[in-house]
Amino acid sequence: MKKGSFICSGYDTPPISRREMLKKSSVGFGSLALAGLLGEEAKGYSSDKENPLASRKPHFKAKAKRIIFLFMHGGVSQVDTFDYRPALQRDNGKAYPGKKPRIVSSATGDLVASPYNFKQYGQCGQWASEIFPNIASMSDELCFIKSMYGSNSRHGSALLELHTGSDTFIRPSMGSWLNYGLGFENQDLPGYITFKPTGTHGGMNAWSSAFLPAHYHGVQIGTNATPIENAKIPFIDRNGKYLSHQRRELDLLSEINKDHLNQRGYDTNLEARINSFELAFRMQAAAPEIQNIDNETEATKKLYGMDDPKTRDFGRQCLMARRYSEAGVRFVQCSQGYWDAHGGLKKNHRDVAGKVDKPIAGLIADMKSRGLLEDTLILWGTEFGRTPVGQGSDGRDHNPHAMTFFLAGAGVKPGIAYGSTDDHGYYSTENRVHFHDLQATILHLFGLDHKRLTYRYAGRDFRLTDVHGEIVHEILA
Amino acid sequence: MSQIAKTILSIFAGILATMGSVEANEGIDFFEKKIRPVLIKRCYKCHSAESEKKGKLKGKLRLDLRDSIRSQGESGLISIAPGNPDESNLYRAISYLDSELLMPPKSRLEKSVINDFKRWIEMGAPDPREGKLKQNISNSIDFEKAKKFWSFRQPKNPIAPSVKNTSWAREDLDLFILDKLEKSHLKPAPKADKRTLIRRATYDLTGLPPTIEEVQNFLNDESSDAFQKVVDRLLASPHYGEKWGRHWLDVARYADSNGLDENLAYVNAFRYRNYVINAFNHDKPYDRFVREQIAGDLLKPPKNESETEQHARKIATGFLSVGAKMLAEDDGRKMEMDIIDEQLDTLGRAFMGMTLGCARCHDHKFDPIPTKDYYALAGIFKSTQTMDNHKVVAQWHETELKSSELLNKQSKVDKEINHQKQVLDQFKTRTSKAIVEEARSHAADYFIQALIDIRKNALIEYTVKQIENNSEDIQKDNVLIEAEDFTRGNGLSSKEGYGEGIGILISSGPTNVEFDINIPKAGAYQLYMRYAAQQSRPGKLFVNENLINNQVTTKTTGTWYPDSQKWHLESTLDLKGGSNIFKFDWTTPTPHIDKLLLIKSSSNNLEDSFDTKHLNKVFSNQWIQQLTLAKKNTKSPLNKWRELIDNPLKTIGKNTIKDIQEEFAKIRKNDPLYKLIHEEIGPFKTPKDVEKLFTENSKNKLKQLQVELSVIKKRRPQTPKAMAVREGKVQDLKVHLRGDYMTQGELAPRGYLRVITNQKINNPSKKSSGRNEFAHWLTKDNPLTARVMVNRIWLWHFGQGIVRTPDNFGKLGIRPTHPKLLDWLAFKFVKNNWSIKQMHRIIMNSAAYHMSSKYEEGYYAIDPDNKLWWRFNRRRLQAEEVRDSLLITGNSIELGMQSQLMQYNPRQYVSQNEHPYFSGSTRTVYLPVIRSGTFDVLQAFDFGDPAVIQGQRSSTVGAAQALFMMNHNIVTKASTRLAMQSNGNPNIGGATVQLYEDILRRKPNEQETQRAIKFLKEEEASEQPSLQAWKSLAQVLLSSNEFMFID
Repeated sequence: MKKGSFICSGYDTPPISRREMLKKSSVGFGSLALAGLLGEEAKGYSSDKENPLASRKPHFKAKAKRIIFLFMHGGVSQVDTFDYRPALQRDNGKAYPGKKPRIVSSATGDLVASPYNFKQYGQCGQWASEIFPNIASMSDELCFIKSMYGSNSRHGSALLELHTGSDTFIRPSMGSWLNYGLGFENQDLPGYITFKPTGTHGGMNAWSSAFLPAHYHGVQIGTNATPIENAKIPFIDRNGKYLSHQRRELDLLSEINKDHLNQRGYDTNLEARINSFELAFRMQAAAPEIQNIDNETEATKKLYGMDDPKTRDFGRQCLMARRYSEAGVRFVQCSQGYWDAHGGLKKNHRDVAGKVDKPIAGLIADMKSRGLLEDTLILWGTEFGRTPVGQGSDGRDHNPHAMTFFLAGAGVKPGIAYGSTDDHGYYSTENRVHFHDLQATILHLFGLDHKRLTYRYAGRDFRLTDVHGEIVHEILA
Repeated sequence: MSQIAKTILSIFAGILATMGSVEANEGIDFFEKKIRPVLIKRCYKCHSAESEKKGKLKGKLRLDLRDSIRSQGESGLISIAPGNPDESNLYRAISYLDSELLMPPKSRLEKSVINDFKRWIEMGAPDPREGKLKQNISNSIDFEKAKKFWSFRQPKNPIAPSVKNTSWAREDLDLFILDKLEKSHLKPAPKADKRTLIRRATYDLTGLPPTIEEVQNFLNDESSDAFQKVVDRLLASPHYGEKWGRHWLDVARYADSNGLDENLAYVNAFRYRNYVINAFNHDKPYDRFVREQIAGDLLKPPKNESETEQHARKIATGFLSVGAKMLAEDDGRKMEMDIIDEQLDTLGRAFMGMTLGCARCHDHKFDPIPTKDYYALAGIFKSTQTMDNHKVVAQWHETELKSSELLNKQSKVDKEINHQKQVLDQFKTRTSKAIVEEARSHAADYFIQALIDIRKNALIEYTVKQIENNSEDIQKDNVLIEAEDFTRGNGLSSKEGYGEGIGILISSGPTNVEFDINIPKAGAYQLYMRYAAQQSRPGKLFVNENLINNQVTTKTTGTWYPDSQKWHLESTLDLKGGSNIFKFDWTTPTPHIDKLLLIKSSSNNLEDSFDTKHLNKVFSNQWIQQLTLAKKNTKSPLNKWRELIDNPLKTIGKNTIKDIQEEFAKIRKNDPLYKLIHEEIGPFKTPKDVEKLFTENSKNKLKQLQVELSVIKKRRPQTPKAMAVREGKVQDLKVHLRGDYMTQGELAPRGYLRVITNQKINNPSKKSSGRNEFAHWLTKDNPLTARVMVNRIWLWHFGQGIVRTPDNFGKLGIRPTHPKLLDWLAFKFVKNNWSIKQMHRIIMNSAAYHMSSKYEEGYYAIDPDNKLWWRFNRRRLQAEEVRDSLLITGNSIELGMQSQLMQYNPRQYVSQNEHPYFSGSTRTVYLPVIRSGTFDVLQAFDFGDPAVIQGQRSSTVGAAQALFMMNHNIVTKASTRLAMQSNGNPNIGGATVQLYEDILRRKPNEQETQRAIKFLKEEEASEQPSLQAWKSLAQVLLSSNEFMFID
C-alpha cells in the first residue's frame, strides 16, 4: 500500500486511520508497508542523517508523539476561569494587601471579584467558573497547572516567550524545535502547522524556525481573519489545474531534471529538489483530503460544536487539528482571540469562552474515544493571566505573574491541579512553573532532553530553554 | 536603624550565641529545630559551599555560615539583619512580597515557617555556624595570552607558496588554493566553459541572468581579456549595487518594520537601503562605509561635500536604527538596554565577527570579552540617541534632511501661503465686522431680550422654591410635578447615578408616560421642563388627547448627569380647570427628566410678545452672559436697570421697554454703556465661529479662499526624514550584574575591546558619546575588520567563506581553511584603499573562480564539503534571484531604483495582508521587508529572518518551493507570457528552440527538442499545440534544476 493513499481522493475504501494502518502493518502486512510509510522520502539523501525530514529517535523513550496546542490569544484571566480564589470574592473593592509588581502595563485599582459563579467538577473536584461548563466537565481528564508564570507584561513579548522561550530575541519556536529533534512523522505533510494565528504581537516569529533549517518553519494555514473554511496551506491551490495535467508536467520535468543530474554526477541538492516535486504533488493531494471533513459523521461535527455559528469556526479548527494530528503532524496549533479584557471583562470572557468551550471539550472527548490521547498531548494556554485588581469595575490588566494552563493526554497525570497562587490570585506562589519549565517538560514528554537538544548557530549552542527550565516531574504520569 | 544600634544588636546576638546563657541556648535550639533544616532543604542547593564547588552558587550568596548569611550577596543587600526582619533581604525574599525577589524560586515556604524566620531574626538571629568566607577570586582574563588567538593577530602580508603546477594560477591567491590541493594530492577542477562562466558571473554580480545577446557576445569574443571585460561591464551596472547591497542588507538585518509587538512601519528605512545600494555602486571604500554607518553624523565632512553626500552620512547611521525592536515594553529601562544590546550584537558580528551580546550578563564564556568591556561599549550607545522615548509605544528618532534647494522651495511656498492667509484673514475680519456692527445697532433690543430671559429663569427658580415651601399664593397659579411621579406608563424612576440626589424619570426604550395634573384655574400656562440630555431625544406632547406639540424635549445639555439639569420652556398651552391628562410619547428612551412646571401666563405679559426676530442667538447668549455678570457687578453700566435685573417679580411695562430703547439711543461716546457695547470683550465681541453668521455668499467666498490655501499648502514639499541616530546625553554605565539594571556593579568608562587595544582605554570626551572614536578604532589597525569583510566577499562569490562562520571569528567560530589566503586578501583589501570592486576583479579573475563545478567521486569522498576548493560550488538561486529571474524571463520586470513602496503613514501599524507590490514587477530588493510577516515567496526560498544578522543564507530545497513553482501566479504569469510568444508559430521546432533560449539561455540539443515537441503534441493530441501546451512546457523549463541552479 502506498504511503498516504488513505487520504488520496478517488479511493472508495473508507478512510482508515494511520494508527490502524500501523497496527495492521505490524500484525500482517509486513515490514514492507511500514518501511514505505516511514522511509520513502529518504531517497535523494545518502542517508537519513542527511535528510532533515527523516524521523529521528528521541533521546529516551517518548510518551508523546504529537501535540495540539490550543492558544488563547490576549491573556485569559485565571481568577475568572479555573483559579477560584474565595478571598478575592470576599474582598471585592478592598485594596490588594500585597505589593503590586514594579513593572505594570496599566494602572490598576482595588480588588475586583469575579463576576462569575464557580463550582466544583468531577471526582477531582476541580473548580471552574460558569463560562467553561464543557471543559470543566472533562476535569478528570485534565492536568491543570495553576502556578504558571512568565516574564513580560506585554502581548508580543509574552506571546513570543511562550512560543519560543525568549521575550527579547527572535528564536526558533517550540514546534520547530520538536521537528528538528524528531523529524517528520508523515513525509507527505509538514511537521508543524498553525491555524489562523495572529499576525500581530510578533506574528510569524511565533511559528518561525528562526535560525533552524527552514524545513522546521511552521506552515501557516489562514490568518486570524480568514474564515476557517478558506484557510489553506500556502501555494497549494492549483487554481483549477487538473492533477492529471500537473502529473504530466511533472513527468516531463522529472525526465529533464534527471538528464541534467546525469550530466553532473552526484548532487544531493539536485536530487532532493527532484524529489521535492513528488512530495509537493503528494501533499497537494493529501492536505485537502485532511481538510475535507465531509466524511466526518454529524455526531462528530456536533461534538465539536460545528452546528452552532458561535462555535463553528473554532470547532472546525479543532476537528482539523485532530485530523492533521492523526495523520502524523507533530505540532498543530489552533488559536482563538481575543481575551484582552481591560474593560468589559464580564461580556468578553463569556463570549470568547463560549466560542472555544464546546470545541475543546469535544476535541478531548473525540481524541480519547479514538485512543489518540495515548500519544498525543493537548496543551491549553495563554500569553499571560490577568490581575485580580481591576481596571475600572469590569476590567483587568495583564499579569505575567500568574496564569492557569491545562494539559491532557500523553504522559501527564489526569485529574490533578498542580501549584497555586496567593489568596487573591495575583502571583504564583506554590510550585511555580515558568514558561521555560513547561517547555522543558514538553520536550521531556517527547523523549527529548531540553539541555541536549541544541543547535549551533553563530558559534553558540542554542536551546529552547536557553539556560533555564526545570522539568515538572510532579505532573508526569 | 542606626549603625550603632545594629552593631549593638549584633554584638548582643553574638553574646547570646556564645555565652551559653539560658536564652542563648533557647535561641540556638530554635535555630537548630526551625531554621537550619529549612535552610538545608530549601536554600543550600544554590547558596552553600557545596553549590559553590559545583559552580551552581547563585547571586554570589552563601547562606551556610553565620558570617555569610549576615553579609550581602551580589545584590548588595544584607540577607539577615539580626533583630530587624524588615531590613533582612532574605526575609523579604521568602515573604514573597516583591515579584522580582521570590525565594525559594519555585515554591513559597509555609506561612508558619516564614513566621519562624521572622521570630528568629527578631531574636537576633542566633547562629552557631562558625567559619570564614574565602575572598572571591575573580577569574580575570589574561589579555596578553588572549591576543595570540589567530583572529586577534594583525594580518601580515603572507608570501604566496610555491607550487608544482605553475600553469594553473591566474592570480596570487590561486597559489594558496593550489598549494593545499597539491599537498592533499588533489587537482583543481577543469575550467568552466564560457557559457557557464558568464551565467555564473552575471548572477553573481547582478542577481540576474545574462541576456542571450550578452552570452553570444562573450562566446564570440576571443580576446584574452574577454572575461575581464564582462566583469567590468557588470561592475559598472546599477544592478551590481542591487545584488551586493542586498548581501550587506542581510548583514545589517534590514527591514521596513520593527517587528515584534506593535509592528510599525519604518517608512523611512528605505533611505538606508538605497544608501547601501549606492555605496556599492560607487565603490565607497569599505572603511569609510563602516565609519558612516556607525558615526556618519559625526564624521568630519570632506571638502566640497554636497548636500546629498551630507544626507548620505546621516542616513548611513540607519544601520544602528533599523533593527528589530520591542516597542511595547513596559519596562522602559529594559527596552533601552535591549535596543543597545541589539546594536552591539549586530555591529560586533557585522564588523568584527565578535559575539558581543554574549557578554551582557556575564564575562564572555569563550572569547576575551569581559562584561566591563561590554558596558564600556554600551556606554557609547547609551550616550547616543536612537530613540526619542522608551514609552509604550516607543518612538525611534528620525532626522530631518534639509537642503538649500528644499528650503528655497519651501520658503517660496511659505510666502504664497502667508499671502493667501492674509487675504483670507482680511476677508474674514471685514465680513465679521459688518455683522457685529449690524448687531450693535440693535443693542437695546439685545439687552431687553437678555433681560427677559434671565428674569424668566429667575422666576422659575423663584416659583419652584415657593411651591416647595408650600406658599399657597403661588400654588394657586403654578403647578410643580416631579417627573418620576408620573401617573401611568412604562417610564422608570432613578434615584442613583443619573438621578442621584434629585430623582428623575428615565427609561430603556420607546416610552410613553401620562400625568394627571390638577389645574387650579383654567387659562394659559407655560410648560417648563427640567432635564439633562447628552443627545437630543424629541417627543410628542398630548394634552387631553390633543396633540399640542410634536417637538418637545429636543434640547441637549452636555451630559446625562444631574449637574447638567436645566429648565427649558417647552410649550405654551391652554388648560381647563381641574384634571388635565398630559401624555408624552417618545420613540426613544426619555431624556433624564427631573421636573415639570406649569406657570400661569399673565394676561398682559409683554415679555412674551417682545419681538426678537431681528436678533441673533449668538449675540443674545453673549448678552445673557453679560447680564449674569452684571448681577454680581455693582459698578456695571447697566446698573440703571438693576431692579429689573435682580427682581423677577417686578414687572416690565411697555414704558420700560421704550425707556430702555430711548436710553440706548442717547448714548454718547464717553458713556460707560457705550464702552460696554463697543469693547472687543463685551457682549458684542466677535463670536468664535462668526463664520456661521455669514451670508451664504460670504460663506462660499470664504470656502473658496480656504480651498485655495489648502491647495497651496499641499504644494509645500515636506522635509524628508531618515531613521538615524544622533548624540545623546553623554554618560558612562556601570556593569549590570546578570544583565539586570537593578543590580549594578563597577563603573565601566566608555571604551573599546581591551583584547584589541592594548594601551590604556582611550577615553572618549565628556562631551561626545565616543561613537566617532569607536568608528575610527574599528577601521584603523583593527585586525578583525578587514578579515571579516574579505571573508564575506569570498563567501558571497564562492558560497562558503574561508572562515565558515562568517559572523563569528571567536573561539567557537570555525578556523579558516586557508588562514594565509585570508590574510593575503585582507592585506590586499586595505592596500587597495578598501575597494570592494577591486576585490571582485581579483577574485573573479582567479583560476579558483574559473573552475567548473564538476563532480569527482574520489575527491568527493575525501572532501565532500569542498573545504579545499577543488571545484566551484554549485548553488541554488537565492530568493530574490528566483523572483527576479521569473519576472525578467517573463519580460515583466521594472528595473529602476525604487523609494518606499509601502502605502503606510509614518509609524502606522503594518499588517500581514496581501500587498499589491508583491505581485508587482519591481526588483525584489525594493520590496518592503515586513518583520514578522515576510513575503511568503521570499520566506519559502530561505530569505531568512530579517531580525538578526545573516552573513550566510541557508539554501534548502523543500516541498514549499516545489508548490510555489507548480502553482504560484508569478510562475504561471511568466509561463503565459512566454507561451504567447510561441503559440501559433507554425514552426514548432523553431519555437521550441526559442523557448529554451528564452528560459535557459541556450539552444536545446536534438533529443531535447524532440522530447519537447512530443510533449506538446501529446498535450494537444493534434499537430498544432495550444497556448495551454506551450504554457506547460514553459512552466516545466522554469521549474527545471537547470534554471534554479548555477554551476
